[in-house]
Amino acid sequence: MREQLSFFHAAPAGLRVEWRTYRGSIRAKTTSEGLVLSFQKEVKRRVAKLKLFTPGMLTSRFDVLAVIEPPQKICTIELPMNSSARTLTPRQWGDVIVAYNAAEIIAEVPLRERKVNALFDPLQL
Amino acid sequence: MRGCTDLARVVVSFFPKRHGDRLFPLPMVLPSPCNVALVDGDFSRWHHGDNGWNIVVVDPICWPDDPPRSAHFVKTALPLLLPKTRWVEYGDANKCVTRNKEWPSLSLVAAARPAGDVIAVRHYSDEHLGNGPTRENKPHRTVKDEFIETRMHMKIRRMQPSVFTDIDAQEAWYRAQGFEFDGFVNDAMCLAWQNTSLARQFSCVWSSEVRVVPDCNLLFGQFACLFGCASLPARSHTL
Repeated sequence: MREQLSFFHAAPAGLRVEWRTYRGSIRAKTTSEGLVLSFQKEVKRRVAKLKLFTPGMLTSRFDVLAVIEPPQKICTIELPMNSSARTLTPRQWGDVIVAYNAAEIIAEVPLRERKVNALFDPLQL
Repeated sequence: MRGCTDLARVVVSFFPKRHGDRLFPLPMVLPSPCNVALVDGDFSRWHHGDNGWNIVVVDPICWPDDPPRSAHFVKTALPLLLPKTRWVEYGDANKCVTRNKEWPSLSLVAAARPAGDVIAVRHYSDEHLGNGPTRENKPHRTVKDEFIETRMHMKIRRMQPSVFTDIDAQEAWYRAQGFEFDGFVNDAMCLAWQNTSLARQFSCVWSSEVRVVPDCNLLFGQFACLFGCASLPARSHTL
């Protein structure tokens, strides 16, 4: 209802929201659980868009683990082991994230972990 | 609740009875002095039982024609209401229950070592509370969906035209700011607040948007219309 509509709008920058999901009964889940689907959809859309400009660079699907900290959106993108994009350097990963219109990269993890975190501007998503 | 510095639980049951009886009992909880159920005058302890709660009858006069909205204001403003309590769990009496009709306290705070300012749940339309299988592939509820649902719900409640004017204004305001209407919308029937500065800031703004209070400093005064000043702790924090 009305308070739900205001939830994200009212959230100050940096607010940490932990999510639980209903599954038969309410139970604790990891922070990202409740938002995987929506972010997955969004990032897949961005990957598809990116492919139009850089054919062959990203040939495999992305698995997305997402954590939201409204109003920013922090998204961790994890690449499958068999993806050709495993050869990307962290810097190139950064270029990829910028191509998603991410506001900034907030953390670069070693390439062997195949994932990178990006901070998305909510107005860009 | 002055001694409840670590954890307090607040459940609200302002919802009017139907067919002469209240539809939902309070969720069952392990009795504690820090469990408070805010109920309206139709609640009968003898008939419904306290189920582990300390019953406080209040008059939801902030919106006399819309008691659920008064309940919403309680949920959004709890960190300001209980500024000395580290964790405050909130629940709508009719919705914040497990399938065993228990308060989901372990899930909200105790077992998970949460680090968040707020603990919330995704909308139950995705995974309905205790009724049937989960629906992993169902599209998530969006803000746009929720505006539609809210208007429908207000029609069912037969609310005044001014309510719809308010909702229209809220939607126009959000659109003007470029707010994401296709984004995920959470549920708010169960919440846990950690009393951090960010949580209080959020509580203040959120309550202002729900209550349409122009100045956050006026919020605390607004509680008087719900609870009466006598039971309130002294305001000791700065936003």
